[in-house]
Amino acid sequence: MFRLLLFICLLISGAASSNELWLKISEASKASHDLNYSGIINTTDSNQDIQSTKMIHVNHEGEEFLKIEKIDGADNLLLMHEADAVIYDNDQNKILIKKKKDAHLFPNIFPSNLDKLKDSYSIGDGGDFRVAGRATQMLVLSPVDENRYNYHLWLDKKSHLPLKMMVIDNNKKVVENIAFANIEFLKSQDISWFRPNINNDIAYSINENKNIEETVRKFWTINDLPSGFEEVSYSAKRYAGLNAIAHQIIYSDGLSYISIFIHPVAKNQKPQVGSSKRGSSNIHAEYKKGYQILAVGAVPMQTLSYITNKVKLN
Amino acid sequence: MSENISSIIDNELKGKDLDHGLNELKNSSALSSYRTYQMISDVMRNDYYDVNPELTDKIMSKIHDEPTQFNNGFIHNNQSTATIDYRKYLLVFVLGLIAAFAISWAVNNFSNTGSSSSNDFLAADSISQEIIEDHFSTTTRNPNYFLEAGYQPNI
Repeated sequence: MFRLLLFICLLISGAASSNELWLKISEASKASHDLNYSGIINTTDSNQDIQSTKMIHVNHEGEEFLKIEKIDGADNLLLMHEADAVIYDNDQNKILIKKKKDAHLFPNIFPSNLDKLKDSYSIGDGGDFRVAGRATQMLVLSPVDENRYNYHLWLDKKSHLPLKMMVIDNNKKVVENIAFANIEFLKSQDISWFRPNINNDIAYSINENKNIEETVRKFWTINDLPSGFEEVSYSAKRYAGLNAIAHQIIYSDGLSYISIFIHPVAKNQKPQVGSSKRGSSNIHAEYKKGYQILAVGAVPMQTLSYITNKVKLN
Repeated sequence: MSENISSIIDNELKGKDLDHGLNELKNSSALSSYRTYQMISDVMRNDYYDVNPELTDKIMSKIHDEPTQFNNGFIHNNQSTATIDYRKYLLVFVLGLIAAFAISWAVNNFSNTGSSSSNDFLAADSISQEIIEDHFSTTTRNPNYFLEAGYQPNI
């Protein structure tokens, strides 16, 4: 009897602890939108290449303004206001305009519906660490199945802002590593910095709108998705290299993203089947009824293979 | 109000005056114009407008016209009054029929019959770079990837 009571007490305390940790995720998500901050972000890919970007984020009376500049390589710049994103590519003298309703650039990595994460991940306390000179608590989001990877998040103890994120695959290899090298919290909501670095000597070209705007009839069905994944976006556009229109459907469980590309295979091109890897993402290809099915994502290969098998062409 | 926009863009307002001006803009219909003009303020300030008077209009036009990707849905045109041209769909339907016959003929006449076992094994360098870049630019959390992969060459 005593053991049973003890077990129940442990269960209750465990649930309470889990709820407290999920609450911290909620606070981290809010902080990434609401706070004003600037700093240097270092990213390390699976090849251990490190790239640095300088960023500043200000919430000016409820509207988010973001500027990201490359420090290494091409002098590229992103200005983003709410969903409007403008990329100035000074290397290629081009300006790209996009509407990114649900961009999840670090540290704003969480979905709008945080409860969705609870379906796919369990949460644990990884202990205290120091990141970018600040005290943080590490939270570990472990997948409930083998269809996704582990996410380690270091949250600033004072502001709750995520200062570091690591994605670790099922072989305990780091797939993705993003972290602030330094960070400053801004008191002012000044947005006078929200301007591009235009070079007057350059004649910029602006991207043409290549997405196909007409409503497209879905000629495919993808049922029985891996648990937790749901469609979050769809687009279609003509790809010059393929000489065909490809449809891109994006599925997400809130943290992991999978793109499914479907396009007809031209007469002079060979369809592809099999698995490969590019950077942090796995790639799996199938060929069905004249169409190439390509799944790309930072998830286990078996997840991509499972989804491509579920693609049915009508 | 247009004086306020002009003053803010030209950096004539500072400190509290700037905040005051922005507060006024916040409640005005001119805010949307300000937002887009702000992004290209340097273009205007540096007399780039005189060199290429269409650049400013182009950027504003593109921001307005760029379709927004919504959750669980297809791309929507920003114009809420967009009409449907049924002739387009008829044309697409007819072209689809022709394409279906063509594909069927090709499948029957070429060795490439759709059997997975007869196809090439996927090599990393044989994957369309455009597709990889589109995946990264639409899903990445990595700001560096977004800046590198965010740009797709014109077609």
